[in-house]
Amino acid sequence: MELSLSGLRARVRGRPARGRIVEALPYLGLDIESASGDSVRVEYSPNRPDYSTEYGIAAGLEGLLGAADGPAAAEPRAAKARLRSKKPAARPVIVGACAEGARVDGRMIRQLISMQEDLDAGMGRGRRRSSIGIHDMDRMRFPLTYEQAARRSAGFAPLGTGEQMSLAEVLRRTEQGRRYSGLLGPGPVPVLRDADGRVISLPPVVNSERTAVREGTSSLFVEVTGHEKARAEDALSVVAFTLARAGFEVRGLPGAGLAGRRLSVGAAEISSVLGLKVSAAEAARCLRRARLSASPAGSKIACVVPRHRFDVRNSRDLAEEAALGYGVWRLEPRMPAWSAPGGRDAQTVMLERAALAMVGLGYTEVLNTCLAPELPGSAGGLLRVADPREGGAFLRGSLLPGLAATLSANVHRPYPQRIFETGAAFARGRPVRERLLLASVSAHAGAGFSEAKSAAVAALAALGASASARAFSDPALREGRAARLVARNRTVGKVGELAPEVASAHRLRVPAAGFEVDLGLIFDAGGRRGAHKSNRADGRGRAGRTAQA
Amino acid sequence: MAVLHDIERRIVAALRGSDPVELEALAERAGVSKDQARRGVEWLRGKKLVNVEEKTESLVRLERRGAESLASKLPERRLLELVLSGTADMAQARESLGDEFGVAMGAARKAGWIELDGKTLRASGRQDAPPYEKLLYRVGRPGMAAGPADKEALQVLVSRGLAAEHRVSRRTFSLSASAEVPGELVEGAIDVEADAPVAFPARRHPLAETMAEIREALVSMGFSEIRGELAQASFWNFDALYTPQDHPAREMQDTFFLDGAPARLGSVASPGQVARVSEAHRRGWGYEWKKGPSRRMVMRTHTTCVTVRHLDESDGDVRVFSMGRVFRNEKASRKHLSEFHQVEGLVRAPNLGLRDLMGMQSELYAKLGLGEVLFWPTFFPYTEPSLQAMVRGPGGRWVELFGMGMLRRESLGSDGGVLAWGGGVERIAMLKMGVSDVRAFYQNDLEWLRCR
Repeated sequence: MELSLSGLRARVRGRPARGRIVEALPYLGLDIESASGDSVRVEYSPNRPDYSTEYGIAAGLEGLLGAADGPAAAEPRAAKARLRSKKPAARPVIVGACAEGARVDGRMIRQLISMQEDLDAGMGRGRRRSSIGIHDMDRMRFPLTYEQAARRSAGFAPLGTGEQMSLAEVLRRTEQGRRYSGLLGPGPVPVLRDADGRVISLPPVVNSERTAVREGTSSLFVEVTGHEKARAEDALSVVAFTLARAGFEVRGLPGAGLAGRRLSVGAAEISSVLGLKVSAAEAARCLRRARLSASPAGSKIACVVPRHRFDVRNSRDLAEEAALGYGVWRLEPRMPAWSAPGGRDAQTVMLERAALAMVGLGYTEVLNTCLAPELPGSAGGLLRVADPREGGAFLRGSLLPGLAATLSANVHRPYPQRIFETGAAFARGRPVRERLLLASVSAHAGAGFSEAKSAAVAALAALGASASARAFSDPALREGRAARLVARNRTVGKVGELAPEVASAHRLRVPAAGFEVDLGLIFDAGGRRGAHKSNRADGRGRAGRTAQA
Repeated sequence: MAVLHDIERRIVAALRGSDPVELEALAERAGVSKDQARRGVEWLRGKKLVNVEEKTESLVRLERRGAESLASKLPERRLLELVLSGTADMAQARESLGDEFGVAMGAARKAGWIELDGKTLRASGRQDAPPYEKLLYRVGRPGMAAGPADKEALQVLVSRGLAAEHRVSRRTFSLSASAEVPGELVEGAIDVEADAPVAFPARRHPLAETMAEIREALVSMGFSEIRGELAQASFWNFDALYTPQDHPAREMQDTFFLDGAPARLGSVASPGQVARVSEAHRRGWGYEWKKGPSRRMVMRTHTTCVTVRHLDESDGDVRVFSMGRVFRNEKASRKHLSEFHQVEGLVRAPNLGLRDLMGMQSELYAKLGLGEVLFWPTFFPYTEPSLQAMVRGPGGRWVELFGMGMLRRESLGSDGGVLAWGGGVERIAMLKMGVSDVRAFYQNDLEWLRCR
């Protein structure tokens, strides 16, 4: 969202310096994306839709900067205007509010529209949950009726056109109609009519041109429709709060649900969240700076949470508000004192040992992605992910195809090239079998089976396993130059020269040979001291797989 | 200084301690051919090890007539001897000397040896040799250098065609001062300053190094590492962390779901865990939680699925971290990857609050050398309150580092007092290594991996 510092400053009581405003914004939880001159781009968190306009942000700043505290807007009173809902099946819920006593200008219109779009898209889940309509109240006559209407019945001139259309035409011919008619299903559609029977809105699609808000409009009617009352009230409360901050007197129609909620929190909970002893009186001050109504009552603080702060639902939420009101910059970090030792995971210990052996053998570590296209030399039947935005859809079943691709990407770099990788590979299981592999390849004019086997045997020896090779065949390896690696009567991996088809698919001009072993099998076979020893010493269930560093 | 060829070394040895010598003498002394010596001194001159002095001088050489005169004496001397031996008749003498008679007469009379009386020759009694005659003998066959003292005598010899003057240049060689440096001339010495062939050390991957550093820092701070699988049931990746089943993060465009069979809930979670998650969602989010969506297999979007499960299955104090690969269905850019690494931790111990969380983070960043740190409030779905740590990045800008907060009660294993924190490993590696494009870590360019 784009903020104008001067605009913001004008709305904050005490007109603080721009520098103070820029400094304070992050402490409201607003992320500054960029700043240049008078303009600051910020991103607000999804739990604070009230920060979707300068009006709401100004209220937060007033609290943080000590210019004002307590509720930032009076709780709306009841309106005399009436709305009768016949609960149309396609979208049964409607709530509304009136706002009078101020004048809409161009800047306000832009902010209201952008807020409405944000709320419809975010908390409104693309208008499914809630959708907001704001009208010029002087262009309608109360009481209103919310009811369903046949699609073929007489319609209205939708916003942005001057043309009278049937409801079906509105849905078919307008951009909003095409975009949102899917939310309504087949059958009759909901409409909001005024006392003269004129359609002023076809929620959640489009309002009438007749009631459009313009510069100079001085009384507004806001309606929110949806399926659940609470969600509709949430959205209405944010709009109502924003209009109140913009200078309007807001009144809720019956059932608008704009009243605040009582909620309390103990000073002890706030103290424990902050890591700082605060009294109930001090805690209440913090909460008021967060623009809540709060007063100490014994060891507790009794609060009234404005309706638009529907993210505040329990005492922990109040503790968070207190932390914000206290000012996060005032919290002094402290390192908790504890004496228990830490440790590396046993698998990490083994992985590091394997990597050390490979580096010692002259192999440089590379890192490929788990998700890849189907590479030459891959076995069939790989697992896939649904709808990747780009890149590969397949979960690698082996590290060797990735290493061959790495050689291919480096054909212009000096040889010999010796590379290795450790990482996960995937196969179908229940539902997924994940293995931790070590693999390497060597490529140069003299590369061949013997070198690869030497490296494999040496690496396995470093992991405490004595390995031998048994002839076998593998589609990724050259026939007659391939073997499975056997340790403790189990096949733990394979070694061999790269199959000529794989090498030529990668345009390799030197021979390459490599190996791959399943570290999990070595590990399970009791491959290494240390890891298991500390397992016993530690003995804390899952945490037991932690080795001392 | 460059290394010496064998020829050069011999020449340098021959010149050591010697006066300047000419090429021929040098070749002989160094035991090399003249050609080799010529080449050798040229190389040594190029290396500024040998000085060459070039002198131009006059050399007198006898002409043919002069050489004859050397053998048979000058005609005037022969004339004098004739006279002294008794020949007084001029005609007789002319006959004897032939066409040299005129020259002999002129020179003998000029020298004052002979007087002419009519046609009779008479010795004056003087027979001392004039300077040019002495010079003639001095020059002799090999020739000699002409000095200024001989100038007049030489003119006589030259004008009479007996001798000629040649200008010749002579080159002599000697060692320069810099050739006196010891070591250069040791047998077997090589050019130690020339470029050697490039060798590449085998290395760990930069991210592996960064992760080892982070791991060491955390272990030294009392954290224990745990690991978990990359493919997880949605139950642990989302539901256990209180992410509602209609949350946008659970949609296909943000997350990699696995095609194929879903997990059997009974094999990934206990009935108690399922019941508690279901209840938390029903009460907190107000909807009926379903097993189906929680069974979908997903490439984990964070490592918290691993730590939170550990938390829920452990009693008492917990201080763990997990580091590993996580997945987001995103397009790769300079800042984002669809696969990257995260480190994340949880602490459960009595009486911990935001200040302790900030303290732990400050300690960690200091150990990683990341310097100045700020904490800003923020929002995360499964922590409350939530903070983000900011550190100084390139150009002094504040860069977001880790997210953190107190784990919501609604998350499995949380009692409301659990501290949680985590963030990207690549971000730290980029800050530490000055890498501006995160894709560099996965391009596997050997040039970079070997020589960074």
